[in-house]
Amino acid sequence: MNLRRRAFLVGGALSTGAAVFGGVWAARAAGSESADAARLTASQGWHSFGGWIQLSDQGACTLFVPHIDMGQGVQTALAQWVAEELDLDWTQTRVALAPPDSAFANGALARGWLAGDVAVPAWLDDAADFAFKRIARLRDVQISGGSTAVRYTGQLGLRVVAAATRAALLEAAARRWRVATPGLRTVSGRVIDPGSGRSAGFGGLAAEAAGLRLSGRPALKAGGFRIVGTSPQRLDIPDKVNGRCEYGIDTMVPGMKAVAVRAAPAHGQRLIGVDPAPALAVSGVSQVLQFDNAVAVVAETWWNAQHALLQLQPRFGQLPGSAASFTAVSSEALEAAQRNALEAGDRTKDVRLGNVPDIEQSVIAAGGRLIQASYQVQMLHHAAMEPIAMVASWSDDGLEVWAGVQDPLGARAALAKAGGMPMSRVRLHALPIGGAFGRRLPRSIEPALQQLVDVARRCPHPVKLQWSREEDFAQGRWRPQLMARLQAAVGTDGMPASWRCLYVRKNSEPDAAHIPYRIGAQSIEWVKDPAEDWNVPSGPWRGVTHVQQTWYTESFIDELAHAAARDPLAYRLALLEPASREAKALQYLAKVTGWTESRQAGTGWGMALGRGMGTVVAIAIRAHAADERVQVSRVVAVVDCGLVVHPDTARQQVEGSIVMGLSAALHERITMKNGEVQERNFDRYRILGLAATPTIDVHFVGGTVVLGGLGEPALPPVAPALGNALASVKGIRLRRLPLEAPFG
Amino acid sequence: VADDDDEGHAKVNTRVTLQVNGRTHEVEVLPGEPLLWALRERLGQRGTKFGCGIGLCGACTVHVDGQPARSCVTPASAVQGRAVATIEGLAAPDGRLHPLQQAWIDLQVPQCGYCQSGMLMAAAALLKTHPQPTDQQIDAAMTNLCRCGTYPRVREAIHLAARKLASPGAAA
Repeated sequence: MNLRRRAFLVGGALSTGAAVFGGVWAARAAGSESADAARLTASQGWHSFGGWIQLSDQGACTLFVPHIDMGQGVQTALAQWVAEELDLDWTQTRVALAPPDSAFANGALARGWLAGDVAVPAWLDDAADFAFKRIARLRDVQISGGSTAVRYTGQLGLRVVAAATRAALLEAAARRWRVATPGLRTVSGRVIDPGSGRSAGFGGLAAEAAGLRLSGRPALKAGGFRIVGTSPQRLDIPDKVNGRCEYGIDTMVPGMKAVAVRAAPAHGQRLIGVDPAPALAVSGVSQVLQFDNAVAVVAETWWNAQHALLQLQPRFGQLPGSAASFTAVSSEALEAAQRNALEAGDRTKDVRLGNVPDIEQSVIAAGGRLIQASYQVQMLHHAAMEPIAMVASWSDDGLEVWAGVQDPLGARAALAKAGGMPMSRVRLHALPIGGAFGRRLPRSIEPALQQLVDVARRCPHPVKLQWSREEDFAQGRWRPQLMARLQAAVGTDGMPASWRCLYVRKNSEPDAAHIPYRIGAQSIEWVKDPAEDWNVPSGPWRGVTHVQQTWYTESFIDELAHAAARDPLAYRLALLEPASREAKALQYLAKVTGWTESRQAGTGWGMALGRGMGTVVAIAIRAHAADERVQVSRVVAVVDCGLVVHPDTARQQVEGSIVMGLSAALHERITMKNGEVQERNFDRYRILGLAATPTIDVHFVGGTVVLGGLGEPALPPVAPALGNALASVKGIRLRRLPLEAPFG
Repeated sequence: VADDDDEGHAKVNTRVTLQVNGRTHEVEVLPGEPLLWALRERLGQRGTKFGCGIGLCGACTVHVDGQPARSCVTPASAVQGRAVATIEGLAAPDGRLHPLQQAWIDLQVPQCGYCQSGMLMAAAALLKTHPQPTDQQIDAAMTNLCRCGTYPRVREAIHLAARKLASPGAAA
């Protein structure tokens, strides 16, 4: 990786300029940040365009992408935007990870967020404390999350830089040949003058073009895409089939030792004491380190360290005089407290339309009825296949870290804070991640970064801190346990005249509780999670708040349809704006599933509608009753994300979201008892395997404009579609996830 | 991580001889040290991944005498004198990819890629015993966990590689 050979030169870049991307970037193309970006990525024989794109004298192109690869394939999709606008030869296009520097902050992401143009990324409020609010909101974010990479970074950022680079190359050729720029064309890495037949490769023009001022408002292609909309092979895959892709856990640096750690299993507890002797007696062990809430063993190899750690019997507990009782936390206590909060807690309004109590009374007076249901979700672990593992070296020169994080720039700031040093003294080598799903977003990964720094500063050599799978589970940042109560007043026609949703809110839920259905009277309210101060960590999990809110909304609307003895798909359609993206997605779903003919006894389809991150997804799931069990045989997804840049990785993301959604809906649950997580490995935290994975069909119904992301939106509707399929096939309505039992 | 050491204390290193991808290595390991960590940390072959440490997720799958084995629960000392094959040895010595690796690229199977070394080794072992596996045989053999959800493509890619192996000249 190029990054490893580079020194980070910038310290003062934090204080000046604005975001690099898009319009903001264009306005400041000659300003300090693009100059910084250029300096950070400079190398011999290469010419920089805004710091983001480099052309070599031989005509090769490297683009610097600020998003981490954690399996989503965005680097290829972003390279497509650049190759498209710049008319590159695809085989000459390469991607490198942008350095974790503010010159490469996600300006486009921030811009999309501030403009509010599509959907507010729901995870952002969780991330916001960390970076957005602290450093002038626009500045210090380099996040791979919120399904934002292609629609913001690509659409608003790299694409614009590429078009400006193409304009500069045209201008350089026009000057050389003394002709007018409009007469020239670009084709696959060359500038061509159709008038004279002359042509020149980009490589031969790069030096001159790089000296020109980049256009602030380059013309973008309106259509007729050559590369966008095709599926070139992903650039990262060859190294993922031969074992050569290096993740954080694979990092080796000279002189490094390995560290195994055990933190207090009940969150909030402290390390009271530990006898280090049994670990020190193990060959290869050099140190036993004690921290506020953890004990760590340093040894020659990680298994060595972990083996020695298991010989220790650390005593964790409360400090004398501490009031809180951390060990009282249990899943049952959480549930009871939340149930109580729904009854008696202070309510805050999300949405109020019409007068709900009046409508309810008049519906009942006219012969209608109230339908009520409560829904619950359990805590979920990210359970990425790569457990947390990072390398650090603390020396007089500062701190050098190798880690896979979803926001390298934010992580670099967090490392600086943890080490009590300026950011200029922190070097971060951002590595591919063996799955993240939100686990390595800023606030969630910060305690692990702090732990890494605490260990590194006490060791006279580089360290690899690696968590066992048990530690990874025990110290998670889980999707919280939550619940909601819904109520509708249904007229004699079976249609809802009012909709109430009262939900327990942890952190914030911008718009996930909003419903797409045209119901005139609505009351959506929340109560604060009473367990917020209970030392139960939480964090964004793939799909974020949409996961629970879609479970509530789409289960309940289905119940209303069943109560009205109406087809659930037709029932939803009747409540949607006919021209809406949602209605179109449902109609398409009906077509591809042959919906009306498929509802014979014993075989059931369930469906659900999801909206989030700018994308609409309709999902149908087919379940069969087999003896006492229920089997899932097929999932069909209709996805409207607008323009699809790379259809195959888009499909991959939807397939993956569906598998993860099924896994969570069927099996996944973190249970708290005495303040400790009960599931510490895959034996008790079951995730879906290959054999139980059904056939998955994905249909894209987008248009020509980029609208939404793809990393998450297909996940939330999976659970309600599955619950609705179960209701259809067995007549059983389950309102608590995971569904587990009937699926065996 | 299971403690495989009956003594409870691993104080003394022992020397073992490992044959990995056709080469012989002498390494010092701790008593009970799993093959996974001998490969990763003593031999520097880090293509084999750590996932769970209890032999469940399959990220650490290697071959021992051609049979798939979960190297995180296989003591290094137990495979002395036996042929160990890892992801680094799956391609031919001249670099030609194994048909499964090519199928993995053709169908763009990996996402994050972390579990894929184990997936490929499990699939390679399956094709040795069942050159034309049925879906049921794939279900039974492929117990490796993948959090990105690559399972549908794993299944397809195994079928594709099997077809290519059956008629090497034929196009995909």
